[in-house]
Amino acid sequence: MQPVLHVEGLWVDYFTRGRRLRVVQDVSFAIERGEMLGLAGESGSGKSTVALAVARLLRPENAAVGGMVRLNGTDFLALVGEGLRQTRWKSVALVSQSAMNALNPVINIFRQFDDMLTAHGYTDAVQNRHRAAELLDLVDLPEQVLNRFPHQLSGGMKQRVVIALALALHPDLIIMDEPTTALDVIVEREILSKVKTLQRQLGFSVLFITHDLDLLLRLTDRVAIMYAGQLVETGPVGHFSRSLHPYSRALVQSFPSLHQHASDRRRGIPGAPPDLSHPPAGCRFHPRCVFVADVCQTAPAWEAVSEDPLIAVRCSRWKEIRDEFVSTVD
Amino acid sequence: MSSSPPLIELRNVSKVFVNRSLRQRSVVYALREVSLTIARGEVLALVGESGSGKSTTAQLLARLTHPSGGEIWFDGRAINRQAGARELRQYRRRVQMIFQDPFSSLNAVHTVGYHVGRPLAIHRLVPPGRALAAQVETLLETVGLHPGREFVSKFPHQLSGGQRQRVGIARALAPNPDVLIADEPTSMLDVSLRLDVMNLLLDLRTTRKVSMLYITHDLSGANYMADRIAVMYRGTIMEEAPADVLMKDPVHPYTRLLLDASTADFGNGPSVAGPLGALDPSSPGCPFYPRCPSRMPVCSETRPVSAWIADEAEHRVSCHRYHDAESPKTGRDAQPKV
Repeated sequence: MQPVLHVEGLWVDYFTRGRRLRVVQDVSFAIERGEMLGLAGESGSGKSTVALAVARLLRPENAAVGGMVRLNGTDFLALVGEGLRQTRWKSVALVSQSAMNALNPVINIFRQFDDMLTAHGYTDAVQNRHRAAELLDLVDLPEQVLNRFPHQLSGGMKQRVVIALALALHPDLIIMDEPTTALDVIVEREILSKVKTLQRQLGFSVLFITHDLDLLLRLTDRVAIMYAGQLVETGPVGHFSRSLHPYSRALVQSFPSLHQHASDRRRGIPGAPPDLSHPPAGCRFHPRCVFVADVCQTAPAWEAVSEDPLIAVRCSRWKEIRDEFVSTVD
Repeated sequence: MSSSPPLIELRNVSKVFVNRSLRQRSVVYALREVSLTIARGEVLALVGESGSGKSTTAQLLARLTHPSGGEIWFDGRAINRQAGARELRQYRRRVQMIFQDPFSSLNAVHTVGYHVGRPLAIHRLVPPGRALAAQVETLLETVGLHPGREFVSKFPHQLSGGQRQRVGIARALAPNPDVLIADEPTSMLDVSLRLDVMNLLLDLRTTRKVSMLYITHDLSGANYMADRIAVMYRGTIMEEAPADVLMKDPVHPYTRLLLDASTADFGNGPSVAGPLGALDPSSPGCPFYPRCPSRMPVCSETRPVSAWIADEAEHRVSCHRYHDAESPKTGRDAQPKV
């Protein structure tokens, strides 16, 4: 079956102070219908830029986007003008990191729904009110919320409103960029549980972006990990207990688990992520890597380890790392 | 109730903020009768969500603000509002703070050497000149900035977030404090760098025997760092226990929800009873009552008191399920069904 989103060889250049800076390079992934893909990475790894590029929210004067982005089989990067405007929200909706501020502060919640529905051709205010109430009900908010203004709602309620707005036109894909970072863990759990339930009920796909790998491994079906503008590894959630890329391995290790005390000391990743204006030659992770060897001076290719389920990795030494795993398990 | 006498202690400390506007005057209880102790060389983690009062606790201990009620004790003496300048300076030398934001807590126009040397000069610990410069370099190397000499003349913008936070730690260590107050010191760092900063703090605790209040919203980080964990909700300590006990055997419904939210899969499991609405400050009941999955009628009427659980060392909880006003029954048989 055709994937809902198919990204191949995506790159993004930002224009900054008269220079052109490549911030995303050679990113390829696909999301099937009803699937949730988690995209993890540190700040500056390019994960939010991927979200903005896929949603076509980068302005041409600030950024150049290339490669292929297919949404339900159609070339999304080629769309312009009215065609693009109609596809947004209807086919792909975005729940952004600053969702708290995504609502217009001077109009009430109903107007936020009404504006968007009107823009997409639904002009009957009575029907729109009915539809907005239905959507709020999906995210467990009472109809009265329609008459409230954003400042009268808690952070969790605002986030629910934004999710309800995203669902309004039955999108095939919802991009969620750190949707719950500003919320406390209990509210986060409630909202993400709701998203999972709605996903089962309505069948949309989700691209979920966060720095919290631990959360992704509990929430999503598949995970892709970004480092310094590139994908370094992707696979089903279960794969990451034996991941093949040294960076993903270190990242999984770099959170203390819930029942781990410091007597069982873990180490972080030495060094810091690179400056993208001068990325390291060869593998971008090699200066911080414990498996570094001469071969790492050459840039590794994005290589499929298995097709079904899809596991791919960008490391010249993945075979040796895999064999080491096998020997330690035996 | 630690085995050794506390080095620093909050005794029934409350903090009230008053909002005055033209029409009305509203009162916010940031802390309500909070009691906490930290022994010499001990790490106490204070866990809570945003708005729970954990940063207010840090500010009170750092003497950046004064308690509205209750007392702060340090090394056997009450540190009260009337403390003289000399006493206060002494206190501030011995109790140092590490801030959450490594970007805004360093002054952009000053060098690393200035930031770390300042406390040494203010507290006249090292004579200015070569001795001070050498001490600054040593401190920078203590926090993992090698070689110290190269970092001295750098400005904050030339450093990564992790390096800046290390400068913040070196600055806090400079006056050789007895207590470090670390207010979410890793939450603004890249995930790959957090663990090393946590490990650095743990090393300092071992090598320098400092006590630490480690403030976080993350239970697993608290467990990794701390000997004991106190869980705070809306200005009240809900539960406190040795870290392993709290993680294995939490009794307060709020702690259980927190733990559950950090471990369980999504889409199933228990949930909170109600939304996080605005809490009426005059409400007489338990602050967690509106969201509690195991609430009882009494919970809306009277505030539970914080009391030690019988037969368990150093484990206290503030919940009517444990401390029934009528018949005080405590311990396993009073376990709430969550």
